Amino acid sequence: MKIKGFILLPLTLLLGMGSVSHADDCEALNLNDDYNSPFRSMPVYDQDGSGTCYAHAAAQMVNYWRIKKGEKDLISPIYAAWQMSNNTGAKDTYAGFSKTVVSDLKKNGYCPSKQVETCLKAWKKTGGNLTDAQLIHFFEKLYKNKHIFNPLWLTDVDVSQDGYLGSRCEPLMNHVRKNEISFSYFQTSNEILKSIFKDCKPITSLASIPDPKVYEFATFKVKEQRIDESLAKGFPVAIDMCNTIRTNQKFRPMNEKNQVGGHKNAKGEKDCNYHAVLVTARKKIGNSCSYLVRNSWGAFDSPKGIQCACYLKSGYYNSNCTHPSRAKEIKEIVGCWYSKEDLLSNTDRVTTL
Amino acid sequence: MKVLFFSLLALSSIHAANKKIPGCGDQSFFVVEGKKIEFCWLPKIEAWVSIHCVQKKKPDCKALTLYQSLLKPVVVMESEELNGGKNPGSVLCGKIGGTLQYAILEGGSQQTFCSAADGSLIDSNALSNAYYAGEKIKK
Repeated sequence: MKIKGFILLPLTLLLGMGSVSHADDCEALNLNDDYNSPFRSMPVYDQDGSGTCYAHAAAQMVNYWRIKKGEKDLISPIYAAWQMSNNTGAKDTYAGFSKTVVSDLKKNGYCPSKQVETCLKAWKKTGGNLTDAQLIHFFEKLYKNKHIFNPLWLTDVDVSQDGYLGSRCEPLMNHVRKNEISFSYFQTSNEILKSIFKDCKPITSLASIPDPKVYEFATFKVKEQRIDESLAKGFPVAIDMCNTIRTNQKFRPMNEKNQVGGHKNAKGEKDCNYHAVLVTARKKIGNSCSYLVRNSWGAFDSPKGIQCACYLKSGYYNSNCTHPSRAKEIKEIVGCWYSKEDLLSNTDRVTTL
Repeated sequence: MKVLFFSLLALSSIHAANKKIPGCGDQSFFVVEGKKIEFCWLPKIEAWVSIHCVQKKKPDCKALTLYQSLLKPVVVMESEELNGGKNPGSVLCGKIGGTLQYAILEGGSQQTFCSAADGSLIDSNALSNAYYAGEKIKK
């Protein structure tokens, strides 16, 4: 009995030390709470119905870096999406990778947000106060089936049947019909956007941004290390996250053995919509090490049942703004918390600066 | 006398602006498409809706009807409709016959609202929460 106690005591101490060490692994790291955090000078974006999450994540990573260096001018995610897709020869801005956008910005510069807005303003007004996303989507819809063997392409276009645009774009469609010849000149939506942005001279001062690095098909441990290292250095991390995690945190599209995309889990359950978002903080919640994920779905984005963090109008950062007693005190939701285990099982690609 | 009258008038208008509407967990103004509109926070569904949705004078609020329609299994959103990380709230708004309206909040953050045929508004994130809550019920 005495011998058992003799063995058990050091064993318990060792196990205890192990748990202390584990707790230290999840030391709080937060890029939001400081009063000088670049996130305080950046809007929470709403990418709306555009497929530009990758550019929203990339532009915010770069903007965060630039604000830290004292810059105030923000890069427009919509412009970043167009510039990258145009330079890579794509027809439209639909889907892409954050790394490609950062590399493109480094090489080709950017057009300041205010100039982007000036370029798009008249078009959005002609269309009946369209959002950026609706305008881009309209052009993408308009030129989707245009090619050299389809001269009557315009007769086939019916944007009013588009579930997202509805009848909203009728004024712009009428404008197109009236000026068919000028619109026929362009072959793709990226070409017409090129003409819209033609007066914008890109500012090429981004060469000093660190080269983006991508980690995919990596083990959970590697992904975790890259996220932690980046947060510790004081930079947000872009990840491609399976959206199902928002409604089902126990969904496991990936495991240590299956790191490739993981569009379906072992049981063949429903696939994922991979969505580029930013990881901006880490802390222990209950027994779990958790990460804060910043989205581009608007300032009120807060999935049910998940703890989310916010900036209050008073200027304070609050790590738990779920079920607020006074909703109007919230300025914006800056992210929602997911446990390490849940997040890594739903993270396909990690991009760091 | 005039000073007293105008002071009372100013006080009463401040009181009217801060008047608490029963049913609202909170009230706030947002600038949507350039117009300053008052909203009510409905804690039960965790959504910002146009203030008239909870006022007795106009109880019929189509924005809440849009919200409720998503709880039924009628609306289906295919996985590929969200490719590129589209905001499901924006996609759903178009699908259920609403019109998206854009707000720039204090500090420059962005938020979309879904406008119903009667002009009432609901924040589009609430639509997405309703859809996924409805999806769970369907299962």
